[in-house]
Amino acid sequence: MRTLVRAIGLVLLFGTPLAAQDSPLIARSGGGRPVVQPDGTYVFQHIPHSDIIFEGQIAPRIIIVDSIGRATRNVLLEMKPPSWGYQVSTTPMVRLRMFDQTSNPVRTPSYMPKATVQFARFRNLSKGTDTDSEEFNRGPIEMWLVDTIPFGHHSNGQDGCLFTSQTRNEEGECVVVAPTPEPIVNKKDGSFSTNYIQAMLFYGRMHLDSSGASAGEFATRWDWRVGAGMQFNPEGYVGGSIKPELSELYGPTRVLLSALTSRRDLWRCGRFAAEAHFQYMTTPPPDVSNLITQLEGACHPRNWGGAGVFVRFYHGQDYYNLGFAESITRVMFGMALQKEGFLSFRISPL
Amino acid sequence: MYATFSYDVTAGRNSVDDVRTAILDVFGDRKMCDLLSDTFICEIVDTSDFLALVRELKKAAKDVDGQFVFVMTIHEGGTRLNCNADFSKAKARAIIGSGDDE
Repeated sequence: MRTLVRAIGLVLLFGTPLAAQDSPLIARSGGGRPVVQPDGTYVFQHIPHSDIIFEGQIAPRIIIVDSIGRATRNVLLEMKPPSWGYQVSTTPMVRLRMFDQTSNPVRTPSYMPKATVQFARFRNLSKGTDTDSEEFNRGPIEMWLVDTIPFGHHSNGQDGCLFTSQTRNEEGECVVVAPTPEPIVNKKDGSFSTNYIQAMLFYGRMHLDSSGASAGEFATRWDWRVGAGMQFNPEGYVGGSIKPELSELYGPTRVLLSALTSRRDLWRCGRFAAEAHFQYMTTPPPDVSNLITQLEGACHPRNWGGAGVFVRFYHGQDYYNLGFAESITRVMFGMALQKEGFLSFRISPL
Repeated sequence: MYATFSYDVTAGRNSVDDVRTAILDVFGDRKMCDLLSDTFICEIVDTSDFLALVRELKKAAKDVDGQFVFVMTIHEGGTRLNCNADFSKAKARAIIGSGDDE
């Protein structure tokens, strides 16, 4: 019975997106709305083993307006002009953990809807001058990317008090009725909620070739990108913002660093990617390190419709809503849907 | 992928036959299918191959003192060729791929 529940959980979480999407690994120039620097959709397990049956994240990016796709048409023009694009999108992100307990509960899912605004600037750094030549069209293409989340929300949809020592009074406020030496987080139905603002600046380069690209285009063969930014979880930032008692423990101000590289058609991977992400919390919870480290490698085989496998090392504050006061160290492994297509660029009119 | 190619030959120091030979030599052993006497489709590997072919044709035009001009257009493999020409469907199918040749 438990196996059946697990199987159904996996199918519900992962099977539907797989059936619904057949994502190409290459984002055609001007032919659509490329997804740059998105969150991924995953389902995975981890070691060392815990009481979690599986964890998953569903994060489809819904693009509202986009001009990045159009910008990629103008990068390979003769004068090598810088080309600008922007994109406004929303992501109704959800994280789930199914626990190996009676009835396999999915205990306090993370609801994480957010709005994303991106500005990208592309420029051809090739030393070639002849637009007919391969050298000119191989780039590299320089990309500056401003990736902002003007509004992001993270809550768990519960109405209990944050700590086990508290209960709600007649006014609905949580008051301490059974003090404990250290506050213990109510992981059963404690209310967790914060709103955040985030901004990152990335710089990267894309090296192109025409093999596997659409007619009249050169597509990214491999790329790299590094970025830095900040995340703030201010009190009073729209309804559902972080409360003072949570703010003191959560680590509301964070410095973000990221480095990514990916390659098209490496061994059997239509897309191979390696990523490193770091967060530094200025005021972490007690017993939790300031630094969060996440390292990931992923392979998306050709003809898997964008799906792939990944392995990830994570160390630092637990990112799962009410887990914020704990530190975890895990090696995660599972399946992911393709996160980002290789950008391609249209050749100059001959 | 495939390309459509059209050219015009003008009178000059080289004979029309020599100019035509210079053009067709550029295409070598590529699969080709005539749509008209001076218009055909040919196989293309990828965009780099297309650019290389255009460069060679430009060089060939220079070598015959600009006695021909040409237009070449690249198409995705398998995309339909919508035209009124009376051409060999089998040849075209082999070049275009996926059987969409009309």
